[in-house]
Amino acid sequence: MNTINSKIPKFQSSIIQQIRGIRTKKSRVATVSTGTQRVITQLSVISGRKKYPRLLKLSNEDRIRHETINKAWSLYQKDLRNERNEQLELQYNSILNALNDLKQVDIELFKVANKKEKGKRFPIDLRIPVDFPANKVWHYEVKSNKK
Amino acid sequence: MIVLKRCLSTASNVKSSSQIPLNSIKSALLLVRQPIVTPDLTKFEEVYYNYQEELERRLMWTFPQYYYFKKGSLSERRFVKAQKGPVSKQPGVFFQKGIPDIVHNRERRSKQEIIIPKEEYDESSSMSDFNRPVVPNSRITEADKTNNVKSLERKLPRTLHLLIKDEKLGWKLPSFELSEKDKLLHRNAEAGMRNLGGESINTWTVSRKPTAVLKYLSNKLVDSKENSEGLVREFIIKSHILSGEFSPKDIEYAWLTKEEIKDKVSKEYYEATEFLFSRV
Repeated sequence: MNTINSKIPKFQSSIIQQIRGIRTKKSRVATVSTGTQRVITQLSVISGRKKYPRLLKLSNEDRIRHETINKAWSLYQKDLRNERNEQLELQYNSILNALNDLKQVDIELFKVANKKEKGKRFPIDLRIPVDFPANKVWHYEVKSNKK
Repeated sequence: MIVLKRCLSTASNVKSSSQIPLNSIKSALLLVRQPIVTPDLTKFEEVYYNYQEELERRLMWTFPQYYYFKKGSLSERRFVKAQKGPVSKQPGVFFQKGIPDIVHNRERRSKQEIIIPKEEYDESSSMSDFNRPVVPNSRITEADKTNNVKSLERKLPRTLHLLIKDEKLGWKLPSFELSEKDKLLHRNAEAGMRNLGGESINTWTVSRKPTAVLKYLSNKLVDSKENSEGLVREFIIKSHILSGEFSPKDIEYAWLTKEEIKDKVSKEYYEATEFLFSRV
């Protein structure tokens, strides 16, 4: 037996371990328990290694285009902001003017208008805008909200 | 105790309140319906948001599918089958669009497109209800098509303001005379509006403070800084409509956006109240 074994060429034993590209021998890496494997998977999900796309390489022309777009956007936002601030200022001045006028006209009403409203809350019925309307756009029936 | 005197105040020079009759003060109501859907995007906004989204997708990490689908499971197979899969690098092949750079089954040079597999169920199956395509409601309502200005369901992306038609003064914000019994501005405005349009309305008054004052001299609008005899003052109280509707019997009214208000009201009136109306 020994003699026969020794006659088999050495390279043949390494060939047997690979059948059509499928590894038949267990890998040398120690297998881990399922718990550990789960942790490894979760960590690999968080980690960016192997998940990063290639960095963007912008040509000079592309870079200028990108900067132009961003500049245009910031100018547009600035215009909007200015308009909004202007309107707010007008509204603020208008309130001041109205209150000053009310003070001259009727001091009693002025006092009531400036009284602090304790416990006043923002109404929960007021909805924030959404992208598409609900099936029922407006609620026409009103629950009696009398005190 | 320190007594603070407003030495520079001009208010002390003015006539005392008792000289102004109550019927020369009115309360007006700026009733607002807030937008129900998000504002329409301008062409520029649309294009810019699209550009940003494409950039973001291009720079996004590879989707870790091994985390969401268990290896060898049916759902994993279904998912993998639905994906297009990138072109892989082969030796001795010329690639027109550059040599592929693939890690984790993703082409690193471009955005990753994930296709969610469509699951097929019978019509009768209870799962078919989950799987039906989502069709959003139209942002343009029936009231928009018929241009019904009395409807609260019109112009959903815009703020609407309630205007009524006065016989003498034309289109304006509703205003109400003060009475001795119901003297407070904010209460009078709310009560007057309910007298006109019925009780089935739910509103929220923003503040007791008036947002603006309009001054009339013999039915003609004058500057709000004007201070002469015989002025009729309208103090505007702001309020939101939350539910219900304004349904008066015999007066004409409309829910209008800022631009539409400009067309309806007189030029002086619009100039005096323009800043009260919302641009959105």
